[in-house]
Amino acid sequence: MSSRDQTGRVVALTGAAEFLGRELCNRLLHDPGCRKVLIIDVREPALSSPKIEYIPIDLTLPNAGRELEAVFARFRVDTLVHQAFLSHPIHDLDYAHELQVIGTLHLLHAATSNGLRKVIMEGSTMVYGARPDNPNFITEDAELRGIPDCPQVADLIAAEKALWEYAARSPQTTVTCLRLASMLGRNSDGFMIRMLSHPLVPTVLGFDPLVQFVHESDALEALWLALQRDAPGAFNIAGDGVVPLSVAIRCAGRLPLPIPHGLTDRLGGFLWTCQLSDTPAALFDYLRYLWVTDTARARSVLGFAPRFTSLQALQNFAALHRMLPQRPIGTGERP
Amino acid sequence: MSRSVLGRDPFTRSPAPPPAAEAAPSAGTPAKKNRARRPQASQRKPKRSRPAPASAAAVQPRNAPPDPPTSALAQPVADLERPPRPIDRRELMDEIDEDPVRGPGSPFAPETLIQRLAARTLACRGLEVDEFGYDPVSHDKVQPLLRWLFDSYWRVRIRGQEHLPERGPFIVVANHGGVLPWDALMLKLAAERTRPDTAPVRFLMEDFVFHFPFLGALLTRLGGARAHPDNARRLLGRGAPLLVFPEGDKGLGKLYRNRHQLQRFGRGGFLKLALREGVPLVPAALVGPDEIHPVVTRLRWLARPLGLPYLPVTLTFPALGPLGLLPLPVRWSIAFGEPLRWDRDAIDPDDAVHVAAQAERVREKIQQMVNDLLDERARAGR
Repeated sequence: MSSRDQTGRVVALTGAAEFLGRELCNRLLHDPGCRKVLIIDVREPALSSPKIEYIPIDLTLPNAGRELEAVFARFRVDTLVHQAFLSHPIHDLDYAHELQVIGTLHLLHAATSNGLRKVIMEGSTMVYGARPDNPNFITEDAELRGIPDCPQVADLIAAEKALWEYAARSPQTTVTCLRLASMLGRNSDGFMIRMLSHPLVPTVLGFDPLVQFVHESDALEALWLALQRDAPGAFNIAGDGVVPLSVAIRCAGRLPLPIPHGLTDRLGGFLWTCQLSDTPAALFDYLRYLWVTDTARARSVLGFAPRFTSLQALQNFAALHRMLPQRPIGTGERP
Repeated sequence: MSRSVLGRDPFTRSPAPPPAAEAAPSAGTPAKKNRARRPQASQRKPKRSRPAPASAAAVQPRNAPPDPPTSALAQPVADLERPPRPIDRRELMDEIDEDPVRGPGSPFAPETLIQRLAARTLACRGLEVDEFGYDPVSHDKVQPLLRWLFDSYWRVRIRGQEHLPERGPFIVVANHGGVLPWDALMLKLAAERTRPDTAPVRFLMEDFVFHFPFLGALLTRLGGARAHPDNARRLLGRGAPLLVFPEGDKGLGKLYRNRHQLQRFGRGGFLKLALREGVPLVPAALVGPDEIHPVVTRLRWLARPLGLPYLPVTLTFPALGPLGLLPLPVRWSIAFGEPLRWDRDAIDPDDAVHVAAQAERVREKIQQMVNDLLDERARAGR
């Protein structure tokens, strides 16, 4: 390569078809410090620019690792932003596992042999698990316990563990994981959004945990900060404050449908098996116990300052929702 | 396509159309704007009777494809103005009644009914809670009941008020009893009455109360938090007086024949907390809670399927069903003792042996205070 092309970084993006990836890509195009954006996806990006290079690689294929390695070497990638995760649990557990865990492994193996400067991964605060013995605010050093019998969350944990193993293997790389709380916004999809999209929201009878939200623009800002600054480690990304689930449901203009906790497993499992529900039964734990996180580290190290509190993000979402009464179009489905 | 509807999105990335602020009432709609909209709504009112064309227009986006990211190149979406001001319930109701996009629509559409009901059921509680779920609105709503219980039902007498520090943070260590944690609420009221200027008094709940259906959710709103060292540290850091009951569920469900006998004090977590945070420890004794629900025996075999540590059998419960959970109107007394302070260098919080010995001394002191209250009650002839 000629030397005049050497200034600026080369960023590889996965999951760029989703809101965060798309907007991040958009920002990178306007960023003079970025020379090239590689979009690694099965879906063609909506943006086009000479800076963008679209590389169609299916992360679930066995030869993805070899192809990625070649691509990383050819374009001299120095930063990887990995967001190819499902925004919502899907029924096809095998595909979900291949994409989220094996796909991450492929990427990290390619990264190991190419010696990247920075790797950023999008995680979820769901990895801590909703457990009865959680403190009110979970910090980043807490163990990633997930919840029992939930392969969907186990996949996220496995992907993150692979990331930390990679970080231990390559000390010269800045490895950052942003654990996002339930993201709200018109462009997002997720467990909480789908829950709040039903006119009657199933809840666990007698339980009213505090929940936390992050507005999608704040999540994007956090991602951008992680890209600009070298802040290794995991960060909880959430809006300030908490909202009781019952208030959240009513603010969204919905009513709770309380189910006794002895029945959530069976009823939820039945509905999930019959594909009548978007939510696996195990996730009802997230409506029963606390899983609020502490964002102090993101504030002090990353400089994260959310513009929306949890309640404001929710009210915004609710205002949009009343205008657009339909369910958000599911983007977590298999393409 | 439904651009006209979607274009009212406050977060639209294309240059915002003028009615954007109107379409997002949460995005800082001033109250006068609401008032300005009202006559408009009344003009629309006659439409309600027939199938409104406004609602037909609103149906359209239902089948619309997802918004294509056409304008994505224009501006990053995060360049919003300021975050919206929280809306209050009345505005929320107005908003549902006068939906700017769909118009009034049918007032009896299931969706509208659900939204109305949702907004109405919010009326009994506050939208904003603090980071532990304390909800001042709910708290104020139940105050009359608690005050009546305090003054008229249990006729609580307070001793040693002068020992409570002027303001937080401090820890009140008390004995626990009475099957249901009424004592926490009464002690909280006693402390708040004695020191009205201090921050709202908070209390720690044992896991079984915190995860008990309804009870945990209710007490969280009234200022409880799960007993966890992190939580306690945070609450003290906010300057809140903190009530702790180191006996936990052993004290709460003790048998009537063991009344007024303090049970083992956990592992001294409260003391470690006081030492680490350097806050004074106020011992408190309660006489009365042990007698509101005289526990005859505890059933463990029946408790396990219900997810409880034990199922208390009192004279009235479960014989009278839920009615049996009404507490008896015995006279209570609460005594606060002299605050205990430790020299930070004198005790190492990690020295388990020393901490346990000191915790035992605190327990004995509270037991002594309970005995004194009992003597006083006996002398008073009751």
